[in-house]
Amino acid sequence: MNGASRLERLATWVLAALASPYERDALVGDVLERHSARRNALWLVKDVLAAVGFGVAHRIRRHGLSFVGALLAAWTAHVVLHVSSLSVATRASRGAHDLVLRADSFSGLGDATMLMAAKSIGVALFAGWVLGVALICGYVAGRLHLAYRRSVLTFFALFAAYPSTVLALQYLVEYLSNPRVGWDAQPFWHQTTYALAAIVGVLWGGSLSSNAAAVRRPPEI
Amino acid sequence: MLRSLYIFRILEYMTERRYLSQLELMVLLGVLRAGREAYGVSIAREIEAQTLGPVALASVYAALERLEERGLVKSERGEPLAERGGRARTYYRLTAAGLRYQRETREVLMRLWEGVDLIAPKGES
Repeated sequence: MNGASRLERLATWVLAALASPYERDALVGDVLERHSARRNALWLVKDVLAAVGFGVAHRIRRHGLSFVGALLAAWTAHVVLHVSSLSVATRASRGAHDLVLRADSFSGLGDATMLMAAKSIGVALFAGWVLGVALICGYVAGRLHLAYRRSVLTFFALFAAYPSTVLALQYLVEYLSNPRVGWDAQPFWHQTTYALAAIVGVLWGGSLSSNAAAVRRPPEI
Repeated sequence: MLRSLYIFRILEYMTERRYLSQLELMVLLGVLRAGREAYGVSIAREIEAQTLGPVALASVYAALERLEERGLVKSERGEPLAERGGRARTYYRLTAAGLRYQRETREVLMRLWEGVDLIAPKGES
């Protein structure tokens, strides 16, 4: 493989990731062997594309129903995560504010410090909640489809983090395009915290499900 | 209870595909023609030589998977080869059931083809 061209390496990588699991190694070897005999890049591309197509068809035929089920479950979990987080965000910031007001009566610290403390506690509670719920969702999604756990979890993590990431970037771009307006950091950090906590939670939950599933993993088909 | 089980058995029987597709049949014959050296590339070459058209290796493997599931072919892993990036070939050969199936199919097809050239399609008399 040392003398392999960049195209061959790319083809090997694509086939290893997306071709049907049935005799995948032999298929990769056959594609490379045929390419070394023909030396035609177009043929190599055609063979790889066909293998990807058949790989997708194989997955749908074997696991289509459970794969769709896992994605639906992930979507439902995402809605629960999002709605509950909105409510928790409001309550956490209000609760933290009340807590700080009570502490302020005997702490003797300045208003700015206390406000900062209130915000930090609120963000920590919010992040903890999102992380916890995402962890449970990730665990459940990971257990639903053992054969394609990694794909489901990656999709779920991206799905959960996508809206928040877009909003956070939007805030950032707005500020950078017009810095005179002033920077309201709260919405930006709110969305960023949500996105990060969701990704970490989902992947963490998924890794926990992987440990639990390792004991009785079904044979790879 | 028994009647309902019987209905399910009929449904199962109806959904079973008992005949091979054209590609599966071609791959089965490709395995037979390639002999002891029957693996993905050589099977595809056999089919291409007869059909004069390109055959995707993935389609050959998809057909081989179904044939192996039905017990018509069996596979055996060869030695790793340098020109294949250190990957081994998987060799295929027909099982007794596979040989029987191709013989029966040949007979059925021969009987169906008999005299077909003499029959004019409707409206072309």
